[in-house]
Amino acid sequence: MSNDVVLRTRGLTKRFGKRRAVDGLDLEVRRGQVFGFLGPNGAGKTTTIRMLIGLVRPNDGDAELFGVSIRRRRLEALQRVGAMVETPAFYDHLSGQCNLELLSALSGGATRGRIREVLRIVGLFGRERDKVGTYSHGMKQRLGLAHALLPHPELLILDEPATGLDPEGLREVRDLIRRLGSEGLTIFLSSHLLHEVEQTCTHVGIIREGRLVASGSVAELLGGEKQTATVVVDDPQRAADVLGDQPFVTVAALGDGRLRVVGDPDRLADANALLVSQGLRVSAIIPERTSLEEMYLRIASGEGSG
Amino acid sequence: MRLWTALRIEMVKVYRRRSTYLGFVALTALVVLVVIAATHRHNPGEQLRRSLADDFIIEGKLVAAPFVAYLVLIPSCVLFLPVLASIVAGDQIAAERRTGTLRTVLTHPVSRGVLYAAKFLVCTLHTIALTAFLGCLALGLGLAFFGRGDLLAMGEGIRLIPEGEALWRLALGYAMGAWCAIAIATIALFFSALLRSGAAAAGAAVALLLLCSTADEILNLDWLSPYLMRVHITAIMKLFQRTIPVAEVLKSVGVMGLYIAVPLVLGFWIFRRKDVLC
Repeated sequence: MSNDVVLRTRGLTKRFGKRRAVDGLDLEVRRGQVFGFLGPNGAGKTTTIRMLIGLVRPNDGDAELFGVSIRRRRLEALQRVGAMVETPAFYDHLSGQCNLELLSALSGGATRGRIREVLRIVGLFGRERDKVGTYSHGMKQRLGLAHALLPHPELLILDEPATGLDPEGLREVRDLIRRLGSEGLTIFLSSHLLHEVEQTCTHVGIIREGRLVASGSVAELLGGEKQTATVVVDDPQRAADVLGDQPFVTVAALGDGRLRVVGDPDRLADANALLVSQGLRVSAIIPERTSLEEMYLRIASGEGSG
Repeated sequence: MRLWTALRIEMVKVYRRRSTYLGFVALTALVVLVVIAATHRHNPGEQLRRSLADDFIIEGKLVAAPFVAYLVLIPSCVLFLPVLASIVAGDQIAAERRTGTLRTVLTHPVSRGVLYAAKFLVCTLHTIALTAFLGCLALGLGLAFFGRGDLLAMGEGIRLIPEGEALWRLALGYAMGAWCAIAIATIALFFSALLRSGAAAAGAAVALLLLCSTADEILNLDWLSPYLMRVHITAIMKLFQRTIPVAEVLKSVGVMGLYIAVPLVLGFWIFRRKDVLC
């Protein structure tokens, strides 16, 4: 296996009774990637993450972290991993600092300085001596991130890290993930917040009904999509007639002095040239960038796959 | 991760929780009630003195510190200690599963086997702590209210056990009581690995104890009786017979040892394999 592959699953399968929650999942995450794992509710995201950590035993297949099988050598596989699975849970009767001290002992311990450092990173410094039972949901989420960062992991696995955060908290988590990614940390995260994933992730995998239906870099996945553009022209009806016969573009809508066209991104210039050659005056061509959300909804509903 | 580190973590979790100390409060209340009863003129010692007064002249005191510890011993071993030990043991895995902290713990490179062993050990140590506290408190309050003296033991007739001998017999009695309570706690820990509710796990263990008691009383089957917990818990009283039936006591210790070993192994196996879905 290449040294670059940090996380790999081969035929990973989990059945609950007759239902296949995860069905033959093959996934690769390379070092330095910020990988967004997307899918509708019940698609198998959290089950996959639980299998990656060893909380759930796969029925078939395996997962490897840094080339080490999570089924056969779980303790060794988790040595370089920090994880947050679903809503972070801590001991409510202990303080945030005490929780981190106790839990860090499970991974060999952490100095007080390191604990203070991660608490500062997530914005909890100053509340560390308060009992976790008094924390808000957002604070517990931050403590969960601090807990995951504590052992200096090389791979961070985060399940819905932004759940329950206010807009400011969302921005802070997004900025944190970006910064950690830029520092070389490999991050594997699942999220429903597609806009956040689009802004933070370098690569994306989409799972539906337990199977991976699309995977690749964000740029590749969005670049393969058709481009929609609004054309502002002096005679929209005539423009629609001119473009209507062309194979490389489709007229999607017409009205209010504008035309909406859909086509390959690199053929829009040809559409512009054709309109001008027919004597039409084109005031503007405004591309509408396909968002990750649009692509995801299309794929998740089964209309397309990557 | 070493077992000692895991045990230290479990001890912090248990003893930083205020509810853990309710057990000690309950046992204190039990001992205080027994002391109050012993100071009452209808206490067993005084009742004995009055019943024998026509035929015997009894000098000296019948109620002393060892007697208080003796009075407390059986009811606590049959009911109080098992219940209190089960409450802590039942929460060990089930409560952590329900709150999600088990999930948090297992994101670390920690062996499930070491974790289970540490939880078993903390339950054992807690049970021993409860028993030692009970015995010391009973002796201490007995000493404060009644002073030193011999032990009036009732069972096979009436025996007056000299003070020195009474103390080591009481020590053995409490040790055996702790051993029996550890068995119930281990059963509660086993149920804790299966269930999502600590209360249900503790309740199941205590229910099993009561079932054994009821089965022994109702069915009265000679072939079944030797395997029931209650028979071996009440065998503590044999330690106060004139000659301790060592073989019988050791047999009881051995049977209760099986009640520790079997659920411990089963619980360990289940915990290692069970999916953590909460």
